[in-house]
Amino acid sequence: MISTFDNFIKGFLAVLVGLVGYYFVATILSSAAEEKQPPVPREQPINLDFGPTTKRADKVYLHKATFEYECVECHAWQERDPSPREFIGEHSKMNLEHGSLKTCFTCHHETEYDQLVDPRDGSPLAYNKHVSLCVRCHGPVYKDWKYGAHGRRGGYWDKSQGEQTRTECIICHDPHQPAFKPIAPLPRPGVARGAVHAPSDEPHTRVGKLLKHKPIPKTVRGPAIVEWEIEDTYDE
Amino acid sequence: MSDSNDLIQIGRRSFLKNASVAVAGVSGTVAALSPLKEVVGDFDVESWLQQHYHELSEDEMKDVLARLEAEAKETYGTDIKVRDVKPKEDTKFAYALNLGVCVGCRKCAYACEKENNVSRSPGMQYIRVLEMEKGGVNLETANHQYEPETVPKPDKYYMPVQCHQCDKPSCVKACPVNATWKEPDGIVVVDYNWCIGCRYCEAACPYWARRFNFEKPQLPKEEINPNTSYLSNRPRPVGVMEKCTFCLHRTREGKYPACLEVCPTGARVFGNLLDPKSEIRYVLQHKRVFVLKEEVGTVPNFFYFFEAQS
Repeated sequence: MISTFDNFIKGFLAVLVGLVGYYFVATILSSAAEEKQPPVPREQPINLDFGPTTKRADKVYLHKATFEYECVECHAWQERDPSPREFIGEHSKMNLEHGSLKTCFTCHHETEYDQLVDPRDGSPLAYNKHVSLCVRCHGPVYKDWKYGAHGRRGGYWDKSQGEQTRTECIICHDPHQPAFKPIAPLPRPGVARGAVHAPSDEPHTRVGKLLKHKPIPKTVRGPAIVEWEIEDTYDE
Repeated sequence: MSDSNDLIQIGRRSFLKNASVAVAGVSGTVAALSPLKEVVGDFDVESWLQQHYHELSEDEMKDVLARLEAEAKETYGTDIKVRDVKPKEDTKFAYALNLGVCVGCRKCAYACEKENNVSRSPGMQYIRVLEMEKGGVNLETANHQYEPETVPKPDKYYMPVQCHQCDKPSCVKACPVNATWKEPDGIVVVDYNWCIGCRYCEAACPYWARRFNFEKPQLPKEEINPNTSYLSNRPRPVGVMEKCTFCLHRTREGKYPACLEVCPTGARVFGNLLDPKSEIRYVLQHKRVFVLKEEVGTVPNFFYFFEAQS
């Protein structure tokens, strides 16, 4: 009996020694491992814009060779042509793809060159009041915009606590080509961008070294059902 | 005397026998315990003894917040502010998203990642943008790994999915330790210090809105958002669940969530469901909204609508 009890004590002591030893070894190893891998800065930071980049202009100028020209400086001596026409001269880079609109003077005033036109009575309308021109055709969208279902918002949803910013039509839409142009999407999720880990320690790289996976199936949960196929790299 | 006799009687053979047993015991124990090293990490008595969020008094909460700030300083080397932002009265948050104008640029997902201090590697974003076939809402053929040169593709539409803050949240029912619950303003939150990491909630969620920290969160020091709150975007430990909280540290102070502010097409609408003049109420009253997976009965507070505007 005594010897069994003795062995039990010995075993218990061995386990205790093992625990203490493990604690020390693990602590030393983990601290050494942390020192080995300094974080690597990202190669390409993701740039996000948290507000529209264009500002609303009160008046329009032509910027050319560091000079500012007013519209009237050219148009005063050019003939007015109300017919549908090509863009020429300084406007040749423009493209008019705005529904069925084909003529300049649908929106621009015929004689007051730096102003828009109010389609109700033909009177001039300042550029910063362009919303009241757009609304003449886009009534339903204007209503949505006014009550918050259309357009970009920012700041505070609770107007009692702070200012709410909302963008006007031409800040997001180019009035000559109002449809949004296609843009490049940001990288897909799950891809280590740049490296926060040291490159060799990147979890996906680690797996990727040994395994080559088939194309990711198109499921909602993504790469959940991936059939792995082992690539023979053990010979090296 | 008998004790000393016993000691003397240990011969070479018995010593070797016992020593080999001891060595086997030690190595066996080390091998058996080695996975624990990954799980336990830096053991902290105070966080281990911390009470549930609902049982913390104000003074205890102050200590906890100070401790979390110190931990973040030690881990990431930067000063952050951890607050406990309480819900506002007469507020219930809801979200609407116009699928007719979403272009699938994924800016919302990255703005969210930045705002909420989500681990950058492996990238587990709260918002997944699904590329869908036009003509129906078919999640079986949806793809969230799309990588075209430009979006939108003409034959596709894009559906961002994040936490729907359901009124009958299946994730809350699934949690065995009450580490996740629904706040009075409708946000489903997680107490990261109470979560045991069983991932039942992730399995229960029909929208795949919950994420698990398999690794210690990787955050570059210069990209950490210092404005944090206990229940939302404070730095998380490894092995806990986390999720979208509609940026409650922003929205409970009247601001818009980050995903809405960054959206270049203005597809997102956010507001207080209890305010009849709010933007979200206008959308619910005037648009044909639908919810995703209505048949599962979770009653989400996240609405989609199609509005081809001109």
